[in-house]
Amino acid sequence: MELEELMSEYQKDNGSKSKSELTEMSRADRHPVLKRIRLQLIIESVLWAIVLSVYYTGFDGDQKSWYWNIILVVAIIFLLMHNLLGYRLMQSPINGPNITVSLKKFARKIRAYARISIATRVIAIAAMLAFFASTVIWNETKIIAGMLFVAVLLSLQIFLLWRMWKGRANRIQKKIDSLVSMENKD
Amino acid sequence: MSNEEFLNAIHSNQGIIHKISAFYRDSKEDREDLFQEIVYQLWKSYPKFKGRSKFSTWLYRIALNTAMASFRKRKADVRATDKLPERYGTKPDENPNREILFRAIGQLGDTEKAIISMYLDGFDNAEMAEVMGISKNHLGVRLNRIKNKLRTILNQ
Repeated sequence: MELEELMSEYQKDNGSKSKSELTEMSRADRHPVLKRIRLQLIIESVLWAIVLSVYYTGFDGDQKSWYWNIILVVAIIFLLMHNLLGYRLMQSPINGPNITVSLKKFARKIRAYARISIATRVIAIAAMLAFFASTVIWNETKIIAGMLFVAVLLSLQIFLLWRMWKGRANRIQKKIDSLVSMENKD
Repeated sequence: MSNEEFLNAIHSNQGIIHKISAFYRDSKEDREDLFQEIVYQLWKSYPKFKGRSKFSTWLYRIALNTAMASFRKRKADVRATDKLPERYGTKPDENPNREILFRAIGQLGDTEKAIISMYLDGFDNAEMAEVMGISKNHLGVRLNRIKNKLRTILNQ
């Protein structure tokens, strides 16, 4: 079977979508990945809004210093900002005049977002733990147990996020390497 | 190019999007998702299309870029079955040669799939090099290697 003989067969594929279906697909609310991120963003925003609306009395926010309240609010804003950045990242994978340039820029954006993602999560978790621990009367045992708990929780969070973003960045990098090696090997 | 003309151009070139979705995703649902992502990116990039290259060349660039940069939602649905799945949206016995070719392309690497699909759609080396962002000479060498690899797979 020769490739050239198969070319006409290959070019026969005309697809079957109607013009109205193709127009519908131009809407961001039909984009499969963005739809999922948006849903996650809405659910998290609603949940955090509920937390913020009840924490002042429910979690003794009124009995804590003003700076602890600010820290908690900032932590939640960090988490929401993190999701928004993820949405923006996935919205624009095309960043250049050709595939090589575009993938290189996208890989840089992924690495930058990975750092922001890990930093915002760690800061947010640390701030929340600090908020809830601010009224605890500490003794030696509680300090050791608390430090262990925080260390395990933060390490786990960092590790899981790092592994996920490293995997994504590596997959893009492999494609870039394959394109760049064409230039270098031949 | 007006919105109407742009829509007509996507409509008449949608076979390219269909093929790229088939090569870069395994399950029917993932292919449909990728198709939608590509069409979304085409509309989003449309204001930047100045008509300096052929519409199909521009479409290939956006479509391949989307396929290679986006992340898969889920793993392929792998199940034992006594029938061949409708892997590429056509029934295997409807057009066996085409199905064999599509399966063979599916075994190539992501950049190899990109180059061979443009080649089979009749693009010349200069157009393919422009889309990929590599020199024409290197593309030519690479294309020959991919063709040989594909022939080996087809003759197995």
